[in-house]
Amino acid sequence: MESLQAVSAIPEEPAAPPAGGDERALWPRVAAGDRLAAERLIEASYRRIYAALFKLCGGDADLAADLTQETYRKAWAAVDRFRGGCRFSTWVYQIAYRTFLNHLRRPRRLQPLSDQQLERRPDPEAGAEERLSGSQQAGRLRRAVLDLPEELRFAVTARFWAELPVREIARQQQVSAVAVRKRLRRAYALLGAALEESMDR
Amino acid sequence: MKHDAREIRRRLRAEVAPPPPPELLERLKADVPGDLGGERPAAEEPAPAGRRPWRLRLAASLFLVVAGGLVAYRVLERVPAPAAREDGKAVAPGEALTTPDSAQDTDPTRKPERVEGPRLGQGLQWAPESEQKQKLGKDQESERGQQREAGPPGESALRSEAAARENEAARTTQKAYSYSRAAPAPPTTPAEGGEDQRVELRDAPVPRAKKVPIPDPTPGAALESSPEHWEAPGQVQPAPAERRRERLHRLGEGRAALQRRRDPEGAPEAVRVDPSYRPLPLPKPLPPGPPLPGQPPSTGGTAEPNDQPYGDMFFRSYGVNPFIDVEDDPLSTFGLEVDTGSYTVARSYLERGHLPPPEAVRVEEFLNFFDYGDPPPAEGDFAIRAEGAPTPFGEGERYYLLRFGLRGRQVAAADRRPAVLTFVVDVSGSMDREDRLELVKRALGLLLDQLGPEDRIGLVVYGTRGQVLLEPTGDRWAVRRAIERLTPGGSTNAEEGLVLGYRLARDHYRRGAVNRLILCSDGVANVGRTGAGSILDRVATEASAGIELTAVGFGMGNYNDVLLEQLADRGDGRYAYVDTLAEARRVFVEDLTGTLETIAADAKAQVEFDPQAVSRYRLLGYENRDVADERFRDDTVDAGEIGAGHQVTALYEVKLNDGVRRNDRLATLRLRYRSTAAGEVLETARELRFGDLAPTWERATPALRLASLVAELAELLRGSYWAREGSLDDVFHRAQRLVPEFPGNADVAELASLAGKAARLRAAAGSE
Repeated sequence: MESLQAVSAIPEEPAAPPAGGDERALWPRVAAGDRLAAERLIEASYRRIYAALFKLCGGDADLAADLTQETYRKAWAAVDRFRGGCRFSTWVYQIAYRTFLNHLRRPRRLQPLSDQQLERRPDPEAGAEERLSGSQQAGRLRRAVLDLPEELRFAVTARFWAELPVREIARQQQVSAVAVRKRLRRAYALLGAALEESMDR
Repeated sequence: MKHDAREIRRRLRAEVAPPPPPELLERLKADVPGDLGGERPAAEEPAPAGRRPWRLRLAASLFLVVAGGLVAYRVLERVPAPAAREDGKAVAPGEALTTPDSAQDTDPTRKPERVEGPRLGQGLQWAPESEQKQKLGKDQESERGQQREAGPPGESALRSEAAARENEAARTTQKAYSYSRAAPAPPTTPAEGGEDQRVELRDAPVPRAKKVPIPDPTPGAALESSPEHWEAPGQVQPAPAERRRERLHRLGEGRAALQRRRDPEGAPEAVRVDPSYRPLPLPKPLPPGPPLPGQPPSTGGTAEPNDQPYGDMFFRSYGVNPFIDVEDDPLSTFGLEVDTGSYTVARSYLERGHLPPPEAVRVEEFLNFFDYGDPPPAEGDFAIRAEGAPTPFGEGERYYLLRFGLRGRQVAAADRRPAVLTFVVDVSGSMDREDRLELVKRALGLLLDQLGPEDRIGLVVYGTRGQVLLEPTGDRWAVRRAIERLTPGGSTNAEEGLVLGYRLARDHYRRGAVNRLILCSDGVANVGRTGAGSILDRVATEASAGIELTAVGFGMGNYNDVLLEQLADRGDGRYAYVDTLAEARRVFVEDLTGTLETIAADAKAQVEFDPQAVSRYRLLGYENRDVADERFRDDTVDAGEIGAGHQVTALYEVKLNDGVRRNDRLATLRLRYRSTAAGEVLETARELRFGDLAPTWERATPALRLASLVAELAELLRGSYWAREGSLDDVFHRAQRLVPEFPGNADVAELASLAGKAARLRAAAGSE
């Protein structure tokens, strides 16, 4: 009990840029079949989704765009299931995340999960050594994130790469905000350990 | 460098993404379906979640626990024990409490819930608060407190007291579980998630289905929930549904339960399963769950594998045919198929250094890829070869491997009927990747070289819209130029492409010719506005009108194997996957007559085992080709189409009875098909006697040994329970030894190298 309260005393993460209000106003119109509103809803949410997928994909812009499209297709196909319990973009992010995981299970040209390929991958803009090591670091971090246990991975990617507020993630996952924070803290610890390890190697 | 939480957060935030490409928004908008409207519940206000309500709830439940304890104590003090028991029985609410418990013991539908309860684990967060508490182990006290919530104080004190007494001795988690269910839901229950859980628990019994018969395939409906790319509705449900599916998977009953959900009225004894159903891919392979205590998991079969207790692997691979007792069901019926796509897909995975996903492996398509050297028939449409040998593993245990090899009559290239081919080519943006479209162009170029002056070619492309590029023509240069000009771009409107293609083919339909659509696509998701069901229906309709469909898959990455396979299946055609120009040559050049000329339609096989000789059997593969035994002679059943010179191989693992003699009949294979040459339905049969079998595995024919290796590789790759003791290394070595016995057959050498690659990949995956 004490430990739970202790966790809840952690200061709240700074809020993500507001997009929720807009979406919330649009949703009833979309539900009523307003195509224009649906397009507005896309406009309001797709940058966030694309950006998250871009980071998940490790910087493959084409792939991120393709997956974004696939995500929205799935979303429209399943839009009946959206209950409005969370923001539209939060819901879509979950679809995007699953789409990405599905994609990972398929073979692909890029293998961003493996060390060697990361290092071999040519980085056209990386002229200076500094930048090269920067991209290597980003690759390590991404790999560490993808290696997290499922719950933590979703929380971390949703929080930082999709920039969703903790509260939204909590609603979406149907847990308390405290639980999400707890997951994030566990994730930081695991990520720290994973990064140390990869530095040592 | 230090990696504390702050640093990690900073670095996670530091990742930046460029703005999305400008045309992405257009693509997304184009995908918004036309029929957005419809009665849908308006958005609910998000339930207030967060710290404060959580705390409130905690405080409230603490208060209730304390108050409940106090009241119970008072009542206990006043009422003498025996009287309380009698009271408890007399009071109606007390009845309500105890009956569900005893009812549970008799009501079979509730059984799984009790079994499952302790295993749920993950479901905990969603369980109503009362259940959580129980699980957390604050059994008695909190239980009483909670029952207090359910009714007025005095009454429930009696109840909890009576209950406590009655069950003092045998209080288990399970019972506590059922109590909380019996009591009305406490006011704090999170409505949606909690309710879902309960319904689900009740809805997922573990029926011990015997053989699983096939229903009338309900077109379309089945597909919705099956393949990866069409599963959006299931896939994108919020967490509880996801979890529910996982749980069903773990129970090995995903199929049955899904089917029941789709068709709630039909809850027959034997669970009906849609033939097109394939296991839903999950984001991560499930960890094998421990076997359920006290209840054998449903295998869909009646015999225990190898007379051993069930191993862990079983749950993961429920889409595998089980052993069936001949006494129970001597008939094994399935539709033939000559697809080879699954093998080439798996090969492509392995060549690129990945293990193929288990769902992508279909044993029969592996088997049919190889040439076993069975001779073509001297007369008639088919030659049937039947052979067998003791399995190399089940020495002395009377386990045998039987092989039925069918070979279709060959048609010389010169005798081939003229063809009216309509190419339907996917030129959407996704075809730009990996030079898919280039491969299509070159593959079609190869095909063009094989065509004669009588043949006609039309060309339809689809991207965002479908477009007829070329009416069917005999001018091959015109076709070539049109193909050369194809450029990828836009989204994927496969439906419109197919509609236009069929319209074109119908307008140019020629009697006595091969009228066929050749779909070249990566099968990626979008199919216009209506979904996969309507496409499949249309394909089936057109097929019955005489226009067949050959689906040729290209590309990797977001390739949709399932859709293409089903399109070809419903379209009375073949499904092939082309990953290299060599494979294109195989499909379009070496096997062109087979690809184009169908010699047998709706071909089904039925093997009847003799219960005198065979005790049980298992068919390897053909899981999604199952045909109900009694529909074998029903010629309306859509089964497999066999092209000229094609071969079909079916392997059975059987256990023979003691004292089988040389002349004893083991099995009879019957083959029924609509012969295109004779224009009528024919049936042939072939018997297999014990004397036909080889006495030892070493003396088995190379064909049988090759088939066994191919099947074992497939079984291992799909994680079949039955192959759990086999090893890829072993397959690799045995395949290598087999290579010299098939001179000039590069496929066998390739098989060996693939097995080697798979073994290394699996070893690498295991050591991580």
